[in-house]
Amino acid sequence: MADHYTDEDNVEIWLVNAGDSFDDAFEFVGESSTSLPVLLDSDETVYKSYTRREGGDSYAPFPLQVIIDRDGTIAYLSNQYDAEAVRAAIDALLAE
Amino acid sequence: MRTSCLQHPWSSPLFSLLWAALVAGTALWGCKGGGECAPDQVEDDNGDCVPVDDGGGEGEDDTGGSDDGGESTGDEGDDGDEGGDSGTDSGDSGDDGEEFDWSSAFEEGDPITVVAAVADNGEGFDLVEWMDAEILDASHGLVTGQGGWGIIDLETGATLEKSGDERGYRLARSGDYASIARRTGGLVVLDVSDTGLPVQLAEAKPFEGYHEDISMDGERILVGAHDEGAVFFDLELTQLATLPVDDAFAVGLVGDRAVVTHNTTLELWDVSDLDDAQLLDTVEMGGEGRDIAFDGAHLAVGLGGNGVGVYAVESDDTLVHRGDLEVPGSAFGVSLDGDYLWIGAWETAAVAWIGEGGPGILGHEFPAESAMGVGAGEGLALIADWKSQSVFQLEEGLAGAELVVPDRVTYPKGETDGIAVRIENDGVFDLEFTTSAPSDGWSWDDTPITLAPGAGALLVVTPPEDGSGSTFSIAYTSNDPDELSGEIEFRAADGSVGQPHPEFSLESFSWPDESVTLRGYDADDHDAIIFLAYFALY
Repeated sequence: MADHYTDEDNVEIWLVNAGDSFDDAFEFVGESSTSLPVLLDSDETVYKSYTRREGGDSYAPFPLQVIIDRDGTIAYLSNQYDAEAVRAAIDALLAE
Repeated sequence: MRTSCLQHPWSSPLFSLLWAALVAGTALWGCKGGGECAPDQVEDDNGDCVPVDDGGGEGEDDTGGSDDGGESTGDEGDDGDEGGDSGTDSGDSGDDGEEFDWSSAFEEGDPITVVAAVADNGEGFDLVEWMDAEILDASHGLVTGQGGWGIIDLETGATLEKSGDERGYRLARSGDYASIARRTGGLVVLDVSDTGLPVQLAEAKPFEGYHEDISMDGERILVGAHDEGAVFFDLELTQLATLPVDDAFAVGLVGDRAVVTHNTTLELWDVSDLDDAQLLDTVEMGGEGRDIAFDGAHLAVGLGGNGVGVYAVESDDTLVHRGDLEVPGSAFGVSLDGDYLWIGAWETAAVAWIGEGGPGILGHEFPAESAMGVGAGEGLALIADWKSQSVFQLEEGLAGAELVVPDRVTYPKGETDGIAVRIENDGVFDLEFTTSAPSDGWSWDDTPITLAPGAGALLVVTPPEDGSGSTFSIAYTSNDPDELSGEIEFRAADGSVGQPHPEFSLESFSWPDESVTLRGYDADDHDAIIFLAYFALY
């Protein structure tokens, strides 16, 4: 996914870790050697701001992917990782 | 069982799948019943995608646009059910078409009694986060997880002993011995002859990669080790032999028969001669195998979000699919206790009957936290319950209707269209479900609903026409033995598709640089498209 948009200045991919320590997140990310920026949502403040119609709030449904468009609007919100859907959503926004 | 269809891949194995998919661009599993349907559809019990906006009972995948939340209407709820009651669909009595009279074999009642549900974290033990469990005897259970392994008092649920801090993933026990697969941390063998005080016998890291599921019989240990195959070890962790299975994951071993999953394939092997093991049969399953419970004649395979597949090993060494079991959540752990099958499915622990007439779910119970794994025996089930542990008692001969309904539905603020909430009966007896009367400008059909085993229905709830709806609850009653009454809460919320993303500022790093900086999002100062990929390790 990241490679696909390497040359696209208008797309940024941020990994967001929810609830873990810096050490744990750093170690885990190091195993995959990705240099994508990793944000630490340690208390899950941002994560918990999303609407999830599945219900229940003691445990959130992972995975979670969010796309924010250039106007700051949530354009995509999914609890299932679907690379094609993510790319389609990003490409559609790029085409606007 | 009040619940919702949540995917829980932040357990280590499933999260790793997400990670791999994120990097490799591979599609992941879908929430049960929802993975094959369009974003605004759910799968009914006939496997058909129906155009509803599920309030919580099935998986969903909002793929952009302004369709997030509550777009279903009463019309949609009526689809395919002319003259019916709230879009009820029929139950499925199994794949063989033969009806089993459950009432002749089971009395109506709650098959699960909670013996203990204990959160020990903070009670003198560091990080636990249990992933799997085994019953050692009527008094003691063994658990493993992020915090090594521990001994649980089955009467009180308390942690009696804890050792190690390596992340344990799967656990197996045979007689006086137990073994732990620790994913990238190798393997451990314990002497559990003193069930209250196990002693570590061996520790090794045979592979650099992952050691996933583990099974043992006597002094033979079988490990699913991905591309290393399914590998046999002795109690000293000396490698004995390898079954050439690509991407081996879940394993089971009884006598001279082994079962192994790789992706969605289940294989049966004759391992009477480890130097000349023979593949006997292969079947395709409804999902990727995560855990196996195997007694030599029957086996159940936890399929994550795709429920549990139940199979029989016939006398001619063929695998016969006996049926699938649906459970809310993701079936991570399975364990047999005679003809009873216990299932750990994150938000649900369930007991099923796989004997004559089965398989069928007898009942659900809430774990204290998250049922990551389960060990069964002695009429008990020990739930590896993340930062807690739960002990359940089987009440033999009892079964009931099993209500599955979300306890909370969030919807976009200002929504005035109908919100469809799916109600299911996962049990083996008919479910009676009745809601309170509409009030406060909210409307729905409060006609009592009767659902056959396996059937589902849609309750379409419409917020006030003026968009003033915020938090609202519908009370209900049912004949589910442990869910005689409850509430579905509807909560208006922002943060959905089409809504502004909240601004934030978070600490950030970029591997391998350990320095931490602040990275913020401010819509006014940001004009790029941002893809946020969330992950968690615990």
